[in-house]
Amino acid sequence: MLLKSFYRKRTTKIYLIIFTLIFIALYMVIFGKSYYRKYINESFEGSYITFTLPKDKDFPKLEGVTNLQEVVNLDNYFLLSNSSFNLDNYEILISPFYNDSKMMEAVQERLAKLGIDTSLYNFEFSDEVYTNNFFYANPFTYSILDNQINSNDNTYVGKLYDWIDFEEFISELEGELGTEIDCLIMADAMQYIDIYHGFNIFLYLLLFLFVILSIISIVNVLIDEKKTNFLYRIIGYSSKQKRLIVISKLLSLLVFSLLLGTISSLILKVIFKW
Amino acid sequence: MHVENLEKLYKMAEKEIYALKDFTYTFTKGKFYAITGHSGSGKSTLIRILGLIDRPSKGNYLFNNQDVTKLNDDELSDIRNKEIGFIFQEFYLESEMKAYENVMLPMLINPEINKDEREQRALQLLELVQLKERANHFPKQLSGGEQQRICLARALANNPNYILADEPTGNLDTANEEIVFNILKKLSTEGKCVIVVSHSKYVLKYADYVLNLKDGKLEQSNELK
Repeated sequence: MLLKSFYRKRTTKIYLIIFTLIFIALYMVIFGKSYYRKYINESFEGSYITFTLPKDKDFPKLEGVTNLQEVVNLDNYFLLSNSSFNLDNYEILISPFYNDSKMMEAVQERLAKLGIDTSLYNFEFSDEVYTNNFFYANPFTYSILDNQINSNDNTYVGKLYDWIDFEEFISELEGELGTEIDCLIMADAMQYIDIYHGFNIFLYLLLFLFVILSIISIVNVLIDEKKTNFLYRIIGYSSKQKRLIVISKLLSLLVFSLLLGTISSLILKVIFKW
Repeated sequence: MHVENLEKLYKMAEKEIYALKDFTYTFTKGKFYAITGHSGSGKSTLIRILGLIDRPSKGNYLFNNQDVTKLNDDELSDIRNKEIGFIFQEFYLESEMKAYENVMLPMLINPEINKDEREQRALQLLELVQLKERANHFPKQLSGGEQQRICLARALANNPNYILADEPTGNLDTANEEIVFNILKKLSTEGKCVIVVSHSKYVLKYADYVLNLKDGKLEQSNELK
């Protein structure tokens, strides 16, 4: 009954509408960010990072890096020893990026120079995710190559969970690893990163607006409630009970507008298929 | 209600003003008391102290044989809620609550009246003050007399033993004044203690006792036949 009468007030209805609109706007920004994050990361699908570390250094476990694998560096090509691709023995997959017979010959020549009998292998072009400078080999191939290559370093390739702000991330990673990281970008979504950051500005603006409006509405509700202090006192409400009523009203206003904002945003999301 | 040597002192800058001084009296249930006196004579201060809204600066106050001068805010509030009903000239109604909701307001914190009973009881009280048909109206849709009768119904919400009224008819016309005083008189004959501060000469028609205050002191107290 106390809350019902609170919501009958014109000012409460206005606060409810304003807070709901702010929550809807916040959701829209969050949805927008999430959409662009997904879009940007999808467009970076074929991108990767690569770096070398001394062999005596432990295989690094890095936050924010996925599909990290030790590879054999063969000039500009990497042979992956990744069994997760389920390669059969004697099978070598070549990136479709190099989908021409000359490339196939070039790879065979390079392997032959390393003393590998290429007639034992099937060479195929692959649709796998690494689309540049890669071909894949099975563990057997890797072990042969490992013996052939006399190097004190291990080479790694990997992807990033999140390619937004990848430059800052890679620079931090370089500091952590103490080595230079090469980054091969296969994406045409660079301009969307700016849009994504534009959403952040909106987000901070809305949060600022939310804080200001919260302060204004709390002060106004407190002023309104002060007018009824004597009424509640004469009918036997203690100061504690009165404070509890005011807190319940303010909390309900926030929760109710958050609920309305969430439902409205989800409906908009479904209607406009965001 | 027994008060002894009650004093209320206000300190303003370098001045000390006694709103009430050496007030001793016993108010009993089943009686109608009229408190009269000029403006500033201490009538409202007395009502506020008797109603446990303000604390006296000095003196003893026994409420139902309990010393209430040492009780905390929660305990005093509980007594106000269950034992005292107030009526003021300014009504003090919740503008966004309907008439019956305003009457229900004191019942919300009284565990002795359960949730299902509240509305029914509010409607019965509105019937008592002849306003049942206006139960769903908001205060702004009611006349001054009707609003005061809502306050009267609200004062009776928890069936208190004491009804304290400060100029309850100050904003009312003669017809409504008579309705209000008649109801208050009926309540006193039913066993409640009714204490009314009023400038109205009509109050003397209903009162059993009249107490006249002057400069914060009880100047005269008479039983009216």
